[in-house]
Amino acid sequence: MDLNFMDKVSLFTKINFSSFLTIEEALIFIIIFLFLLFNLKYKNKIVSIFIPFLLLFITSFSLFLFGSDITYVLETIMKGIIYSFYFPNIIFYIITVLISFLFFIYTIISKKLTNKEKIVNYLICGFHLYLFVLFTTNCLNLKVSLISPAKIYKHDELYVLVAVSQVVFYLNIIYQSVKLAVRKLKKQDASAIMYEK
Amino acid sequence: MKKRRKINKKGQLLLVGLFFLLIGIGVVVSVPFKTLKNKVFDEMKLAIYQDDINEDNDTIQNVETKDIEQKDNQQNNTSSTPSNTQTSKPVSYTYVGQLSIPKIRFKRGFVKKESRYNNIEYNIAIAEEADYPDVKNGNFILMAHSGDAPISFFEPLYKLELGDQATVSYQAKAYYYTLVKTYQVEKTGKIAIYRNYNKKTLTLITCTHDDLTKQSVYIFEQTNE
Repeated sequence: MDLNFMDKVSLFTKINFSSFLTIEEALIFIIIFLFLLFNLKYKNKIVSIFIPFLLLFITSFSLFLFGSDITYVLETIMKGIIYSFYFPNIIFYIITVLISFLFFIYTIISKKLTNKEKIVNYLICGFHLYLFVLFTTNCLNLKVSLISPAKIYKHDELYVLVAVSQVVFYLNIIYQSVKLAVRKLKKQDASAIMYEK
Repeated sequence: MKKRRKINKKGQLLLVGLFFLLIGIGVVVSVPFKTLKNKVFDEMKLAIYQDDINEDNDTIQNVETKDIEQKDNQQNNTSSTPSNTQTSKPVSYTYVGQLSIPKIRFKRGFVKKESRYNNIEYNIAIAEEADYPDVKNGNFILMAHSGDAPISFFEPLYKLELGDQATVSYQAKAYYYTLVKTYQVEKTGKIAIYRNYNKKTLTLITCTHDDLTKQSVYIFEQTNE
């Protein structure tokens, strides 16, 4: 663990050429990269569909070799996602609030958004920020330590506040994504009409 | 115009297809998702329960660590500090459950069997031969000092009478017991426990009140699941 920069570089170089298998793996990725480079010129659709599947196959196969460990990892990832929704720790919660805050600022200064979109953004982001302020004041009243999630979620009021907060945040994310997707589709449609004309 | 209609139809079909695909994925994923969600909720309940128990019980500060170091030395076969020095350091116990007896306003947590603090010098201790409360028809045996010392947790047990209730909470579940038998035995280093093997029992053992030569045994039987 206590390696200096040069040791790390030399060890990294050694790993890549430590056996025939590692050299093969490096060559496979270099060949895939070259295929993609050449495809920039020829724009072959088969290559652009085939390469992602090939990469997926290679990575899945290497993961498959670890069998039960991977099941455990996947379960841990899913549990982490569920925890982040139902019982987010304070760091994750603060990050979601920061994201809402940035959305809020962007909405205020943006000239591209329509008035309707701005109103919706103000409502959603404003409500999320309001819930966070309510959460912190309740924590102060109940003298709750924010370090341990157990200390926070044993209080039903805080659990409900965080749950509503998370619902609002994820709805906001879904709304923004759908809005972006619809906007892109409309643009494509408009450019297709222009092309026909 | 025809091309545009074709593209529109294709786009709509794609959206409908995507919609049904999402529903299908949702249905397939919902069952393992529900299982994981229940696991997460159970883990959080356990964490909250553990936190409650640790808050309920006072931590003994500045415990003499001679005994802990001697035990460690025996386990590890190394001697880090001389065994006859006594140093004090604050300790904090992680309780896994709690015994409460409302009649005598008794409430005390217990640590897991393997813990170095599962010792009557620090806590109410679980006997090595004991079963945990969740074992069917098992016998959960707890021991502690009685007397005047701060660690005499079982001092008030002598006030108990047949029919008194006790509760053991363990892993976020409560087990209710009723006192059915008490008896005293001589202090010989061994105790015979007379209990109903068809029922889950709780056994409390301590020195007899005002009698240095005997030990008192309190047998509780579980009242409901």
